[in-house]
Amino acid sequence: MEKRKLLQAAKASISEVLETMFFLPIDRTDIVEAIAFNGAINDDMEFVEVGFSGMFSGTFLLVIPDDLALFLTASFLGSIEEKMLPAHIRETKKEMVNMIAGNTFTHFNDQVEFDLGIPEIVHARDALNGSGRGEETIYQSHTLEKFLFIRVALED
Amino acid sequence: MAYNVLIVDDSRAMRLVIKKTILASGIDVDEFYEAENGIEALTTLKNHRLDIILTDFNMPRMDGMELLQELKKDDRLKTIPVIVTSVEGSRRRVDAFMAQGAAAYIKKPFTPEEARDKLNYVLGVNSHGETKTAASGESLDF
Repeated sequence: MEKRKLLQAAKASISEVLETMFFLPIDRTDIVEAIAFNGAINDDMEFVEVGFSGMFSGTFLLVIPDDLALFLTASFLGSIEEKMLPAHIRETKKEMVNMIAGNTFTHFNDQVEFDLGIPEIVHARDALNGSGRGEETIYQSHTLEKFLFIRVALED
Repeated sequence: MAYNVLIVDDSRAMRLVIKKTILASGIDVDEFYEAENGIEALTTLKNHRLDIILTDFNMPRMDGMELLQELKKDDRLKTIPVIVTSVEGSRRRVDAFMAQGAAAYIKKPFTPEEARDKLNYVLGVNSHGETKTAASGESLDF
């Protein structure tokens, strides 16, 4: 019951963060199977992951295509895509997953404390192998005819 | 009055967003200073006069709570208003920041309006960009 509530909070958080901080309207967010997630990524991609602990422990992983990441970074920083450097994009992705995770916990229950780690870059091959730490839920958010994934892994 | 502002956040991107939000809010800024964590912030504070500090909570080396505690121990620094900007939204943690002496708390994600309102509240700036003291003719000097 509480896990389900946390996952619902994650879904709400994705839309809220993207709309508030990145000015990006989300068409819809669906739960998808791992096969859809694995099929959309390749070995060269960089993802961002943040760990958390508290009532539940686990990770949030953000998977976002390069073109959408570039668009969002420029939007977030109030600049134009041509001026964005790889470092800008990495930092923006880190901040995005950080806010989605933190905001999830506030939506879940603001009386409960969670400890959030520092977001880190992870490589696709590790993500493809799965978190290996229990239950995973993968959200696919659709926007601007593109999509991004957030994988929430909860430890047993 | 133009303010010297210190932004403490381990994300360079977020520091830039906060800086742009402050500028967009119409607050008159003399100089922006930046630090990646509490330790860097304290070093900056040794060398510069700051009017307001905006700090993240979750940072490596020294987090926002530790920074706040260090500031409150120092007679020279304890009166500088500190706004905590963080993804941390638990009531207990926000209360802990306020109990430790934070002037305000801005939870990420935030709208530019939310950030502007908190900044204006803390700095005592009215909708015309004037400080309360300037508008009322009162002085903060004792």
